[in-house]
Amino acid sequence: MRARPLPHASASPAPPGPARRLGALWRKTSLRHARNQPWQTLALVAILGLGVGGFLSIQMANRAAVTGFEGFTDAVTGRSTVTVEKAVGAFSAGELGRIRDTVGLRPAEVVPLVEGEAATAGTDPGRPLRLLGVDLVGIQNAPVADSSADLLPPPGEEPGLWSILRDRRSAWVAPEVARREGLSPGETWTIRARGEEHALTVRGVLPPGEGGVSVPPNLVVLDLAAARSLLDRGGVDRVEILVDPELPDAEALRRILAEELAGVGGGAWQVLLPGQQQAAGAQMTAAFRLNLLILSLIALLVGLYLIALGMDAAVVKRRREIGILRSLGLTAGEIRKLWALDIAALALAGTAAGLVLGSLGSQLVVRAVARTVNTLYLETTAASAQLQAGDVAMALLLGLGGGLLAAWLPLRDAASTPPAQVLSAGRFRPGLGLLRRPGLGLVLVVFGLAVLWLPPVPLPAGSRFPVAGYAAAFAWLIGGTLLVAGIVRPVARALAGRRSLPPALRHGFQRLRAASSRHRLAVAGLFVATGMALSMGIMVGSFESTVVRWLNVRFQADVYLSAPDAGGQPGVPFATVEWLEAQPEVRAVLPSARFPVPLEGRTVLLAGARYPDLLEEEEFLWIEEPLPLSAQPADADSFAVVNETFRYRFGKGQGDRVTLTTPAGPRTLWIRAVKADYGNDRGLLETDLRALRSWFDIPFYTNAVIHTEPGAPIPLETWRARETGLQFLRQGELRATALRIFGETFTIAQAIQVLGLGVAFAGLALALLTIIREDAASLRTLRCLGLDERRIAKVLATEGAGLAAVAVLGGLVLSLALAALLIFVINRQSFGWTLLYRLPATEMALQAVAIVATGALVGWLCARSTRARDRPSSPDS
Amino acid sequence: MDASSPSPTPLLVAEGISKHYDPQPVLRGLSLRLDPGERLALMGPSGSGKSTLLHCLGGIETVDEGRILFRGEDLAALDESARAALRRSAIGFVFQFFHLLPTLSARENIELPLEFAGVSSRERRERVEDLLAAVGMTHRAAGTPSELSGGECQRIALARALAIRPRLLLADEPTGNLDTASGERVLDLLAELCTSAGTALVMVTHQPETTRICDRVLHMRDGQWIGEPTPAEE
Ligand SMILES: Nc1ncnc2c1ncn2[C@@H]1O[C@H](COP(=O)(O)OP(=O)(O)OP(=O)(O)O)[C@@H](O)[C@H]1O
Ligand SMILES: [Mg+2]
Repeated sequence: MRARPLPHASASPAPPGPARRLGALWRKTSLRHARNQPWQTLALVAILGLGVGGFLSIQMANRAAVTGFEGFTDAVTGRSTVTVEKAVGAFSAGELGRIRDTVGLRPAEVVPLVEGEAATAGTDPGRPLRLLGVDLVGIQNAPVADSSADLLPPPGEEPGLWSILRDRRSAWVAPEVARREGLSPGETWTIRARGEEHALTVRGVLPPGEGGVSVPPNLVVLDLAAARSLLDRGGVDRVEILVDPELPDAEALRRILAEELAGVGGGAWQVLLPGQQQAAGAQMTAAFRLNLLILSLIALLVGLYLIALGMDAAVVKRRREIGILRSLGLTAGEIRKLWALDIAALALAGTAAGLVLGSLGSQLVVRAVARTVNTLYLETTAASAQLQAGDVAMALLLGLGGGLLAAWLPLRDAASTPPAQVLSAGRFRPGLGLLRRPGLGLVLVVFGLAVLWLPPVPLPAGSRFPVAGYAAAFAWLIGGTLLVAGIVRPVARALAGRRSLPPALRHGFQRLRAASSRHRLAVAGLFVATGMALSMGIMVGSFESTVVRWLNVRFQADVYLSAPDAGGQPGVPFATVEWLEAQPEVRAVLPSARFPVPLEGRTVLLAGARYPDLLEEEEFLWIEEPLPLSAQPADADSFAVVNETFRYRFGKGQGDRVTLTTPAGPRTLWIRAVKADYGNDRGLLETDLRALRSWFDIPFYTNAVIHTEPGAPIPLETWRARETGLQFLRQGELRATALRIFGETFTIAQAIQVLGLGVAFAGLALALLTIIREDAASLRTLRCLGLDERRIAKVLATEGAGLAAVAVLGGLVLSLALAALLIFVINRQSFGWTLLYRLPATEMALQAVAIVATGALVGWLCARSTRARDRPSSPDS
Repeated sequence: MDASSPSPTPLLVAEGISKHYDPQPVLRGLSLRLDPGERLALMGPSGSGKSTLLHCLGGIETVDEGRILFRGEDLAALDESARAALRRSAIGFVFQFFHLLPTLSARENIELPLEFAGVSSRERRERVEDLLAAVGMTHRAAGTPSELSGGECQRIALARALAIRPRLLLADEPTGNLDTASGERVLDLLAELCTSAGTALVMVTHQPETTRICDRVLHMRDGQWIGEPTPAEE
């Protein structure tokens, strides 16, 4: 017999392949764990699902809000064109050429327009008409579905269409004008413009508008050249770029064109995209949405914490098994592979659960606000609450990627630690080592404070990016997490040292004093989640009180007179204001004119208002109270009241001087006061109306507010009937509309807040459940030592409440800091506004107490459920 | 002490107790009587039901038939919290695997049952220090269980069980996990502490030499006594 060397490890003749061996091992270990402890496995999957689902539903709810607002603004303005306007003066032929060159061969048509006022002359003279000059030949090629398209003459059957279009006397009138003047095609009609009478030939009646866009009732369309000579204009007032709305990427093309045109025009052109001229408050809702987005990004972090929590639990639960397997000869690599399988399976199940939870959650959120949302936001909301492919990808990334990442650290430790150490319980401390570094947390918090002095970074589009704010938020969030996680043990140690405490409480703290990595993760996740939810509450509260106060200041007059955004008069005629002032019901009419002007390479809104009447009639939110006019320096041409944004943007406040370039030469304004104004984030420079009119050739007012005699009925219908191209609104209606828009946003924000709190509650409950369940042996020992259910319940309730209390206290501090950051740094740097800082203290206190109570309740329930499952028995069993 | 002469007031009496873990019977009609301060050793092959019997005697497991009287009170007639109260005040456990609470130091492990028994802080401190000295662990009192050796853990577990000065100590293979020298040491301690406090002992063991500290040895197989007649059978 030949001597055969003794096999080294395994005597089996044909060992199975490594893959099959791993597979078999996985079935015998992991799968059996899952089957034998379905409850724990379910809890793990639920934690993962909650992480993914919480993030997804907040994401979707936020998207519903955002698309809702976009739909809303489109519906309000009805514009589908890019509009180029000039701050001062008309477009020259050269400028028009530059616009055409910029648009080039792309599927968009350049339509220059001239707009102006005229009046009827014949039997009913003096009625205002709005003249619009369009290049009628050019517009024939335009791919239009815009309000301007409705101005086209009906396709002519006669051969001489071109000659008609080119006829300087051809006019097309609105149905309203035709009816009132008794006009039919072919008739001759006389109008007055610039003090002269002109005879026109009516070629047709304009078709009524489509899709809710109505033809202004006093509109008269002429050929561009005819209108220019009638109105005595050297250039064109406005250029509209029509993009075929049927194009699949029409929206993108509009955006690109707008950007390019803004670049070509420098500060001199004002380029407006559809929906950019907004109803009051749209600016502010944009700011609010930005803040919401920032807060909901934090939800991502909460999700990651929850996932890390689940993974850590999975690893720690079986670290003994890792030690045993390694002592049986498995390599660290093989263990890692085994676990990768495990984690992938867990993460997949969790992600699937998260997708279900996420869509359920967002449906709930959307349904909660559905009734009001649908009237306001049209159908967009429902569609955006659907799961999209991107969401699924995001969920997979978060669940699988986050899961692997979160499990990697504890796993790497467990797999590479010598088996003896793993097996000798306690000494081996797995889990995220990072969470044991409160010192680093402190450094991060201080870093966040230091970084606050950084100025915002200017962006090419003219806005500014508050780097400091975001960097500080991030540093505080992470630093706070480390601090809070690190503080659990010392706090619990201090409390456990109090020998006078009731024994159940004291032992609860003793358990917490040895907080495991999962305790720390649970605290970290809860800290971030409560910080997010509570700062959301502060944000909503601050915005709400600011908005209400501001709207009350903004809409003090009884009637608000303006030109409608789409159609109608281009502005409020001087004559209208004079006529209104003569009415017996009217106490004061305060007109104002405003238009963008370039200043130091940026654009600001220059306004003229009727001082000092304005200061007498209305109240303001002063940041800096007006100085007396006597303080005005001799070299200043006039004074100005600026808004807060202006002060931040240009660094100029009370007493400083600003020099403007005007057609009448340079003019110096002395800044007299600074007021809060949340409707404008570019900067407002408001001066005396008379001064403004003497420097600029202003054709009409932008708007006017009317204060009526107290108690006098307001003959709004009479005024409306006389001034058909204008819009008269009662202040109450305006304020109600604005408040309603904000109300919807707040509802969604509150829904997100509820969701965030829900995630916090559920995450806490699940975390505590797994922590306590894994420690069943200790509970059995306590029973053997004679603790009855009530006492054990007290111990666990203390543990849960203590855990929650540390996290919630940290979360409170975080929410105060984050909200202050949003209000005083981020909003101020990106919009130039300071909101009122309002603490919904009672609400916050209630939420904090509720979370701590949840911790106690979960501990209590755990004690009860473990009793139901394990009858009192020896710790051996 | 004469074990065969029944004293008028037995500490613990078991009468015909049976127990099964479906479908297998574990204890079959066992009877037992234990006087105050008496020490009893239980021996028998693995799986014969020794641990189960111990758990039943301590009230952490219920019996299917028969009854267990502790100081004349039927354990089955007490509710769970009354049985817990009994364990807080009169019955101590020592386990083969120690079962110290991992988050507490050695000192705190001993102190815990005293706290729940409502002993005053000052007296707790005294008793704990005495016990630490008695088991020779004063110098390691601040260590947590994971930092202690097996023998050290068992000494702490012993001190914990005796802290409440129980009338009855139930010990399940208290030396099973220890080397001979440590085992001897723990055993001597056990005898000494029981004697000084007048505590009765029921000790499960596989090592015949450990029965030297006991007054009586009972042998079990398949949930029944073998050899000598059970002392409760008159
Ligand atoms: N919780 C349980 N569920 C089912 N069967 C059990 C349970 N506890 C014990 N058994 C069974 O009861 C029988 C007696 O168990 P027990 O632990 O009392 O034996 P033992 O005499 O202490 O053995 P050892 O000397 O090995 O500790 C064994 O067959 C065991 O399998
Ligand atoms: Mg046993």
